[in-house]
Formats: sequence, C-alpha cells, structure tokens
Amino acid sequence: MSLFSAMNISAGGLTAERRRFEVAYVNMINSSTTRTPEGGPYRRKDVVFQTTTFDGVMQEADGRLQGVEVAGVVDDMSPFERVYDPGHPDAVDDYVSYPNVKASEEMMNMMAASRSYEANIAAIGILKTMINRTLDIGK
Amino acid sequence: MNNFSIYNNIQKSIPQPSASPTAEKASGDSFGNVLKDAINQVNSLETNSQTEMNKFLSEETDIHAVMMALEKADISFQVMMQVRNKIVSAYQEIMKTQV
Amino acid sequence: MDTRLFPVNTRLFPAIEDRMDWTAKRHQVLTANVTNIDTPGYHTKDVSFADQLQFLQLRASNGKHITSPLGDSRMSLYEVQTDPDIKDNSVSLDREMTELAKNGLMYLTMIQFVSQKIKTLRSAINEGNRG
Repeated sequence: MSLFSAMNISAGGLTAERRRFEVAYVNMINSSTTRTPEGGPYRRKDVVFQTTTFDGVMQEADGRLQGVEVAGVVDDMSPFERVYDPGHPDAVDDYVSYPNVKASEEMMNMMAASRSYEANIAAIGILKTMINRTLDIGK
Repeated sequence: MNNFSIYNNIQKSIPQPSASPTAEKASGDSFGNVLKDAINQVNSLETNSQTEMNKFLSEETDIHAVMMALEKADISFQVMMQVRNKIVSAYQEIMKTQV
Repeated sequence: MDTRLFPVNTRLFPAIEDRMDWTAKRHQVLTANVTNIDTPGYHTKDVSFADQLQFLQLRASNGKHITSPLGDSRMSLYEVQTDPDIKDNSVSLDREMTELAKNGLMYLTMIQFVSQKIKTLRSAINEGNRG
C-alpha cells in the first residue's frame, strides 16, 4: 500500500503546516496586545512538530515511515518588551509590557508554513496522477 | 526480454485450423487437451487476481501489482477464447469435409 | 505444446515490475521527507534497490544504512548524507520536490511501457483471429 499511505503522510503534513500558519497568524495580529483576559500582555505561542507513525500504514520493520504531527502548542517564555510610557492605561510602574512577538518574524513563519503546505499539495498531485494512470493500465 | 517468449508461446498455443486432427491426436496434443490447459490456466490466474485484490484490500500489496495480476488474468482469458474459437472453427471445417 | 503462458507466480515483466515496486516504496519515503521538512531531528531518508548499493555509495558516501528492509528484502532504507540545520533537520525542499517529480515520472514511464506491451499482446492475440 505504499502509494496510498503516501497520501496519509501528505495529509498529515497539510494539517501540521496549517496549524503552524494559524499560530503564527494569531501571534502576528496580537503583536501589540498589551492586555489579555488572563492579565498582562499577549505571550507568543509556538508549535512543536514531531514525527508520528500511522496505524494501518504498512509497518515495515524498523524502517517505519514517519509523518508529522503537531505535538502541541507551547508558550514562548522569552521576556516581554518593556517600554517607558507612564501615561499608558496598562502601564505598571510607568512601564508597559508589550508582547514578545516580532511581526516580521511571524510573517516569515507564515510564508514558510505556506510554502511547505504547497509542497505537500504538490506531492499529493503527483501521487494522484500516478494512481490514476495505474488504474488505466492496458486500456 | 521476456515479451519475446510470450509472443512465441502465443503463436505456438493458438492451433491452426489446417492441422489435421489425427496428427494432433497422435502427438497427444488433442484439441480437448489444449482447451483444458487454457481453461485451467484461466482459472488459476483468476484466482490469483482475486488473491491479489484481497491482499490489496488488507494493505499488503500495492496497486500496480493488483493491476498487473488483473491484466494477466484478462489476457489469459482472451487467449483461451481464441483457442476455443479456433477449435470450434476447426471442428466445423472437419464436419464439413466428412460427407 | 505448452499453453502455460503465464505461470501464476511469475510476473509478466519481472524486471520492470520490480522497479515499479521500488519507485512506489520510494515515493512513500520521499513524501515523508517533504512532510517532515520542518520537523526537528528528522534526517532525509531514501530507499535503495538491491543493485544500486554500489552506485549509491558514491552519492551518499557516509550515508548511514538503516539496515532494516521495508518489509521487502530487495530494498533498504537509508539516511542520505546531508548537513542538518540548526534544528537537526536535514531536509532540503528543493531536493525532495525534484526527487519526487523524478520518481513519479519514472513510475509513470514504467506504467506507460507496461501498458503498451499489454495492448500489443492483446492485438497479437486478437489479430490471430483473422485467418
């Protein structure tokens, strides 16, 4: 079932990259959020990718095929940016804490996730052609 | 390459109507035997293609292997049909001459 | 006269079909490479076919061989010798997409070849009908 399980692998990649894109996007639009329901500024989030093996994929000895999955979304614990601004409503001790997010970095992240997403789409396209032509053997 | 031997085999196995029936019987390759062989072949290849299909469904084999098995079975079936046709037309010719 | 045209356990075109098995397995591995392009710790993998080991020694000179056959003794999975990046990921998107395209084309070519041969076989069988 090599060809068909390649489909699963690509699908897993699509999900993971989309997740990554979403997290980067949320980071970016919150790059100036100084007040959150939990109190304090928005803290940057990150996705963690890890390899995964699929059930039902031909499990071939130790050479198991590895797809990717999002292990989780974690907080980025780097420090907030403190800016001196005594008049700001969210100022604490005359300083406002801004999210530890760099919009440009998140943009790049989104672009990279997008590119990887497209790559998985392309892989699926090639696979579809292969399977379709196989079904037409001899016709 | 393998295909040449397949071509040769096909040519050898489709009997010509002009072959005389007594000569065929003498060599043990009667029409009946030829047809029986072909039918057995078709049967075992049909079974094999079914086996391959089951293997495919339980994810043990790949799609191109299944397709090849199906094509093999189909081709052998066609050969059998041709053999049958030749035998029928040879028989009819023989029946015509025995007046 | 032997009417055993197609013994059940042999393949119509064994050499080609073996290669098709290899490209199919390889496609799976290459796809996994693409999917894992951003996974930390993932190293590019590839599949070698029996007679290719010598040729591949040149390309992946220190390629670590994961000596476990992919459920198929003719092939083995190995790691390609490339430099990992800062996250210990060694997948190059350009290489993998190119290899995927090439591998797909190889597979399609073989399918095409086999398909043509089968069609020819069929006409050989059916042309014998006339005369």
